[in-house]
Amino acid sequence: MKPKIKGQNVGYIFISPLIIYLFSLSIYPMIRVLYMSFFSVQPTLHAGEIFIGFENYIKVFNDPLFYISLQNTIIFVAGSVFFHLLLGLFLALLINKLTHNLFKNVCRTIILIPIAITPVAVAWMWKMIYHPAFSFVPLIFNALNLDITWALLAYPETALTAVTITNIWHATPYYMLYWLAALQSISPEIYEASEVDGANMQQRFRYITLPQLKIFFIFFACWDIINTFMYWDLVWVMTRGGPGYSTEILATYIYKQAFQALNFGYASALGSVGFLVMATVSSVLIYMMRERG
Amino acid sequence: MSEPKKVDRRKFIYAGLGAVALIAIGAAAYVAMNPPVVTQTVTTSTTVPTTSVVTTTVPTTTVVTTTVPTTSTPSEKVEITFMDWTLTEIPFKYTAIKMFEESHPNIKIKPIETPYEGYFDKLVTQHVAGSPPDVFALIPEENWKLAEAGVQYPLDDFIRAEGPKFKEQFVKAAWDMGVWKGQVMNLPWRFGCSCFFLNKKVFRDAGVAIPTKLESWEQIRELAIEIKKNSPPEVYGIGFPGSKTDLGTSWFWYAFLFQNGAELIREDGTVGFNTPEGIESLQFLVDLLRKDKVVPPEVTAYGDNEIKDAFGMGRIAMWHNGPWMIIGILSAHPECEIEVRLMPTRKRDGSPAGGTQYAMSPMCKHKNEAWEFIKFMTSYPIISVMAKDGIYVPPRYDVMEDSYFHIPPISVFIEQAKLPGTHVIGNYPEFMVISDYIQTAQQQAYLGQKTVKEALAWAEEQCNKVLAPHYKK
Repeated sequence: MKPKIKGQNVGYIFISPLIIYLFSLSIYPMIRVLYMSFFSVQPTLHAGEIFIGFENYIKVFNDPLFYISLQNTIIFVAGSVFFHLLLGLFLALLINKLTHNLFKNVCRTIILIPIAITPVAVAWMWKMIYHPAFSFVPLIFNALNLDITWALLAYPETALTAVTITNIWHATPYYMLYWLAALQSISPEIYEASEVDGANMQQRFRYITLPQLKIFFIFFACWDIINTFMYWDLVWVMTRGGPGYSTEILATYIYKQAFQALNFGYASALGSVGFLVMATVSSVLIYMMRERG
Repeated sequence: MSEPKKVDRRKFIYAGLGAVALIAIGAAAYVAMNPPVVTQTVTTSTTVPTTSVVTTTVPTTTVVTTTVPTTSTPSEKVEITFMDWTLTEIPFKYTAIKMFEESHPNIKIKPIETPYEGYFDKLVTQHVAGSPPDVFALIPEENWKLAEAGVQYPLDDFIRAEGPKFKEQFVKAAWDMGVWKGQVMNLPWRFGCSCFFLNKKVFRDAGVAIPTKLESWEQIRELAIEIKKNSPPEVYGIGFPGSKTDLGTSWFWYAFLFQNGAELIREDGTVGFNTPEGIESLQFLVDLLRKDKVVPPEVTAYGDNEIKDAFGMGRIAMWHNGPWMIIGILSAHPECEIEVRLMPTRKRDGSPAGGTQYAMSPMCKHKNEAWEFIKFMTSYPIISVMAKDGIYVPPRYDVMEDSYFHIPPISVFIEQAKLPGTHVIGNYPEFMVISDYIQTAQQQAYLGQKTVKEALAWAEEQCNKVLAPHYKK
């Protein structure tokens, strides 16, 4: 008699591709990086891996460039996340308010154009927009007789802001979509009831919309922090961490250590510490999310 | 009689989707491990000498005879994988591959075109994974790192078997690009050094005569000031990059460093740029930028590509770089009129040089056949066509004798390449790491964040720390 396959076991077959993907492309690399961080792995100096314990981590915490890159990363992430969520919500509210379907779809499509462009192309495009000789912006300033120097990537004071603005432009449409979905999950009957009670638009937004969106805010913030923390493409193409180290973020520093210096052990330690920082921040946000149910 | 078992349609569809997903993942993994080969049908009317017997008198008064083998002894058929980022840039290489296969029927070449961006990351990753290409292109900036990491196989035994005159066919500076701790790790196929480019139209519009020779730094400074004075505000007398997005920033400075008698890396592995001569050379550039104001002020926004475009557009009158830039300028700005001049001298002549080489992987299973391919691709008939197509200095003396290379602008680059002060840069350990420190120091000096002395002292400290383990006795 053939054994029957139980109904619930069939589910494991369906989720096996995802498990294979997660394990091979996420979990195994993380374990491997953590493992390598306790070894000296420098093919240009010696063959193989030499166990050195916590030496790489001690080096990380004594490395001034680690702190510079971490500081830049925090500024980059904080600025990006703040505006991603704020502008994304603003755009979602605008789109959600539109009643004419065709116009709504056209507006949404136009707003979504940035996410259709690959990050490298975005970086090159904005590099030219910021350039003093090749951008249209100085032409506008000249036409308006404004004596403004337009070279945001040339100076340490403005380079990180310029890269952050580029990231905001590129990724905000994602969050507009997320917020739009969140807004559309709020039952319209609540709004109808509030209108009957005489609530105006501001009151509806403050007492109905915002509380309903709080849980989504924490989730989106957590998601955005994780994504932006290891963002590499824009900075690498636009500035390579310069001028000086004003745009050197953790991702570019790790890349330089791994692929320019071939110092895989140290790069792994940097990555592990960066992961720890990111995990701590995300855990706090997830805790807050749980607290709010 | 029992009823036939009913198949639940929904479960059947889900199971099917799961199977399709598994197959798709497997297919993607297979394709990733075996990237499709881009084959090109190239029609070329280039006349390629199929045999060449060239007798050339080289500076050491040795007579060298070069013969391209047209037959090979048939043996077991082997495949050699060949990775290069210039296969599309120089389509003739596909013709060369066909020529090689015709003359070596037992060897099949599998070309792998890989974009330059990320090329060396891919090469290192492939090596670590145990599946590197048999033959690959590289630049001298990566030579030391790849040699130390065991990515290259030394070619000394093969070269010795070719006889003592084999090495003498190659320009010494070009040959030295592939040397690592006394071993020859690769052969050069492209070579070049910097010469000054002058934009004729900018000079003409400013009413400044184009000099027949650049004699000194002071002359360059005076020309730049004169051009700036007589040109619209957006035009500058001289341009140089200051960005970290490529190696152009340090390349530009090295010419003046060498001309002032300083070194980049000494024999003992310490840096040689933090000397009075080195400081003076960088100070010259800083003064052009901050005191004379003849350089675009937002210098740290310019990489080589931006300077190239600014030069082509007529925003910059003078710049120096290698012959490979000329095609790039003219393809984007065909109206640009370029004059090329030898580099000025100060305490001595000096110009940075670089190029491209071919190397073999130690994991190559058919090293003899790979060597035959490398030898072929760096032989007289192949180099003579590629050098003409690409406007670069051939790394071989016999090719230089061709009348094509006696005409400017290439003849100027060849004259510069033969001078003793032409230094190949890049063939040092940790070159990319050192370059990052040097370019950071340059940026700090250009922006006025540090004095030149402070910036170079900081760079010296960082670079020596990085270099020390490689020169330990």
